[in-house]
Amino acid sequence: MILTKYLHIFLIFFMLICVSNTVHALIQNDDKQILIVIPSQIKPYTGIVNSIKIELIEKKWVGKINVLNLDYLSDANEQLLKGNNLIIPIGARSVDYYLSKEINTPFLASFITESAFLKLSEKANRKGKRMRNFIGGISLEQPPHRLVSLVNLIDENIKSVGVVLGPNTIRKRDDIRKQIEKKGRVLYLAEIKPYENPLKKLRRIFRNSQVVIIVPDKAEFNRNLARWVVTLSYKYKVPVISYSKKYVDAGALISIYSQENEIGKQTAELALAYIKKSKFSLRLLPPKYFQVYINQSVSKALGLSLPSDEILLKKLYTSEP
Amino acid sequence: MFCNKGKGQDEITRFHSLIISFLFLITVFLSWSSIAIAEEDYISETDYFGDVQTVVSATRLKQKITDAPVSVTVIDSDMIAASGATEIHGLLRLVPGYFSYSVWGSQFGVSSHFEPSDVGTRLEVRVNGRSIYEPLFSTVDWMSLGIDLDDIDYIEVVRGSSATTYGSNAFLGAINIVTKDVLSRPTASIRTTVGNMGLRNLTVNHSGNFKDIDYGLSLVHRSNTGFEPLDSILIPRDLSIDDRDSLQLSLQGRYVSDLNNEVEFDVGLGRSDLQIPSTLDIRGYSNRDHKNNFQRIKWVHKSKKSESSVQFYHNYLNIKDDLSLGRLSDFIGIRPDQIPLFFPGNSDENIFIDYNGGFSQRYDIEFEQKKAMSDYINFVWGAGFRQDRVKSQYFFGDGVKSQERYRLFGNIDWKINQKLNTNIGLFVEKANSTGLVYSPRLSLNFHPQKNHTIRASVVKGSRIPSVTDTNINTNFHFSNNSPINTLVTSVNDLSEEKVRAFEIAYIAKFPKINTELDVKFFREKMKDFIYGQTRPSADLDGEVRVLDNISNLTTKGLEFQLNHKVKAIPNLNLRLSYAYLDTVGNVIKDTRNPIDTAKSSYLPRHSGTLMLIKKLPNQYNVSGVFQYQSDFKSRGAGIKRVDLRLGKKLKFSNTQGEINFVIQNAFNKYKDFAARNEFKTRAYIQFKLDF
Repeated sequence: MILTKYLHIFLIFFMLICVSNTVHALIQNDDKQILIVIPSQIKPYTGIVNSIKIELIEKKWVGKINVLNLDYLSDANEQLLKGNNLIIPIGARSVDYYLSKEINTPFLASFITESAFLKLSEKANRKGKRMRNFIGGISLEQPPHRLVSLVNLIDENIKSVGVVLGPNTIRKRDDIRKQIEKKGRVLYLAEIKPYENPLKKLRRIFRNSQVVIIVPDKAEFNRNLARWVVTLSYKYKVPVISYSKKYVDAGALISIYSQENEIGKQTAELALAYIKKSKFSLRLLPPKYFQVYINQSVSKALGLSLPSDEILLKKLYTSEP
Repeated sequence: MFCNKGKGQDEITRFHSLIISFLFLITVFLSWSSIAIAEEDYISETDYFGDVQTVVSATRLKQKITDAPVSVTVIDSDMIAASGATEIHGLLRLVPGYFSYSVWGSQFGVSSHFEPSDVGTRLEVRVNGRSIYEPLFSTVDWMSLGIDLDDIDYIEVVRGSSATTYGSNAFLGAINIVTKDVLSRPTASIRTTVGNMGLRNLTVNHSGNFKDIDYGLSLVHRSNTGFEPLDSILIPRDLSIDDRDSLQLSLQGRYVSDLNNEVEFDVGLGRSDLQIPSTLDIRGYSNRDHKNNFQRIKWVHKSKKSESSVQFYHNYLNIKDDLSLGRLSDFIGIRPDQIPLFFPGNSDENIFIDYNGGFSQRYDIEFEQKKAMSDYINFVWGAGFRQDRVKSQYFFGDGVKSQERYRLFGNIDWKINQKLNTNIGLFVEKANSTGLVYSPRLSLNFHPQKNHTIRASVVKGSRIPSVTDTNINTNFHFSNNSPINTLVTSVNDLSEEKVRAFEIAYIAKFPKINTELDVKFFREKMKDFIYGQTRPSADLDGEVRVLDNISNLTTKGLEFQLNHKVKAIPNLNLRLSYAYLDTVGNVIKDTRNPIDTAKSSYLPRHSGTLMLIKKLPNQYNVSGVFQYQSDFKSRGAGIKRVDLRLGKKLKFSNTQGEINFVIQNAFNKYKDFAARNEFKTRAYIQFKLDF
């Protein structure tokens, strides 16, 4: 009789715990809503959306996720802007769209360059809209310390590093200089302006450097510059560190970049950290996850013996602060 | 003030309006590529995943092979080095459906889907965008390009009619030779090849920079003693005299004013001394002297979504020949005193066929613009003008003959969706001897999944008769220009040749097994081909060859190429090419004998090459090419040829070099193009140093 009584108490107590957990979970998640804003239906934006969704589901998110495609804006679609706990604009155009609206929902910018984010913030501030709803963001750009780690892994004995900057990336000069000169290396900097002959400066960089880092600027600039960079790399046998797989296929030695699924994963992590724990960074963070891609033919042609992409990637992750 | 305008005033006003409208249109047109489309002033994420490199061009647009409307074979510098070729034309045998051959030791030919002849026509060949087609002989002089094999970065070979992209000359194919960028060349280099056939080739290069101009200077000397004379009754010894000695000097340069503008230029001049076998000449050969020069200049302007260019080039070739028939009485087998009976007012004399003053010249100017209309549509269009001028007493009689051509062209590459893209192209030409001539093309490329493409395309190509075709009047004459005998002429109403082609192709990559495959089935129906038909005449020999649009040919076939990196054996690459060609045609060769028609087997039914390239330790590398060509009617026995090459890279402090031992045709001998050309085993040593 006593045993049955305690069993009953135990069972009721157990049920109460389960119900309260469920209610707690429901209260926690089921009325939460995230809106992701994308500029168009093309990859990589759709890739980021998919990886955000996958990551959220894996982390047991049961709230709603809506997607607003700016290519198909309508009054009905714009209703999606209401009732969200967090808005995630992907890309510069989406952030610009968000900032143009009178919305008080916190936003987490993702897949955006520092340059774009700065300009859009300034534009918002000029219009009297403060960035008070900004809770954090993820940049596309690999941080300078990571590029320097890559230089160390290519060859520890490299003493001179060349860096090519364009008109929109010149503001990174000091940060890059600090990182490179930290280890006693000499920095050769080329600031290429669109309306001058680029070859003079590029030749100087390639003659004096043991490795050259290309920092991406505007697409047209990147495209027109790439041809000379790859040609001079071949002529002077100087390896090039670039920012995309296509650049490596074109003749650069190695690139370090973040894929859309990696950006999506980090975005989801930040979103959850905000929604569940009210954590936010209030700044644009560099990408946490990244890839390396090596052109082994170029490596052989330059007389380097680099390990595989996977091994180099592991070493890079190990050297992260 | 605006009242009482007379008729004259109206005309002036209309004229002014026309001028202003025209200037306005030009301004809009020239600035079209630079119109700013509300551009953001920051780097966006889209700047990160833009293209930095293009892959291939079959439509003048830079496209992937899988998006192109035609089959393209790319011969890269690795293939060039491994081929063991000593001449540029020899590389084309690696391309399915292409034939390269020696007309004689001093002249080479290349043909595509067409019977090899001593004047290979219907193929556009360009070096850095400049056509090297020579209008006097309607062919390409492969030895006067002014470039060496090592100067070549890659060659794009279009298999199938490319008239939609390049016009008449690309009727059956196109070859684009792209040389290495002057910026990437070593400061100095020297290359030499010596070996059998009296081959003595020497190339000296220097590249550098002068006041922001990057340049490359090249001196190319090539000589050979031709095929060995055959001791045969059928082929007199003297008919095998076909030596060649040529020297070419060229300068290539580029000035980059900024990231969006550059000017490139090439200039060159050269001289070749040839010996040409001839059954006409009393010696069995004649001495021919070629002098050539060329100039090219191109301005390229790039903007955010477009690239515009204007190119001008000029080619000039001067020819002198001392072909001598001997005394006319001996030539035609009569007594000297009988000459006035056959040719009133003339007496017996030595007859020379001399190209003194003979020349061919081409001027060409072209504008081209490539534009990305959206993320899904790329567009190229352009317009041009060309003038060909030729002079030869032997070919044309007195005076300079000229032909002017205008052209307008365009191609759209439209990515309909992720799996489908289409190319729609059109080339419109007009010569002073023809009406408007159109060459349209439509293709659909279906990509059912990544690394797999199925392409279907239809093209209609047209070839305007060349200046030589329309004006030819080959004749012997007395020193006072009175005619002796006409050999070749053409009808007055010679019109364009036509080809309709359909092809279906499958292109695939299999990354797991390191294999790339390209298979194409095609059918080409050629109509109104110009053929020299023998007809009776009142001339000395009672006959004359008349060029007329009387030949029709249909070619069906399969072309196949495969690249494979052998996993089991490191550093071993395999390249296979194969073509099956079934050509059927029907033309009456001689109207006096209508039964004598040329029928099928214009081409070898089966042809192909297998190339193996292996890198060995200690900087050695070895390669071999097996070439097979089946028998065919007009040229007799086929070819089974094995070429072998052993090379070693050298390095001395800042100097790099390479030495190669090459054996061509290691095991057999065969007739190359003609019975007099017996291709025996040949051995060469190639040596090069880069400083």
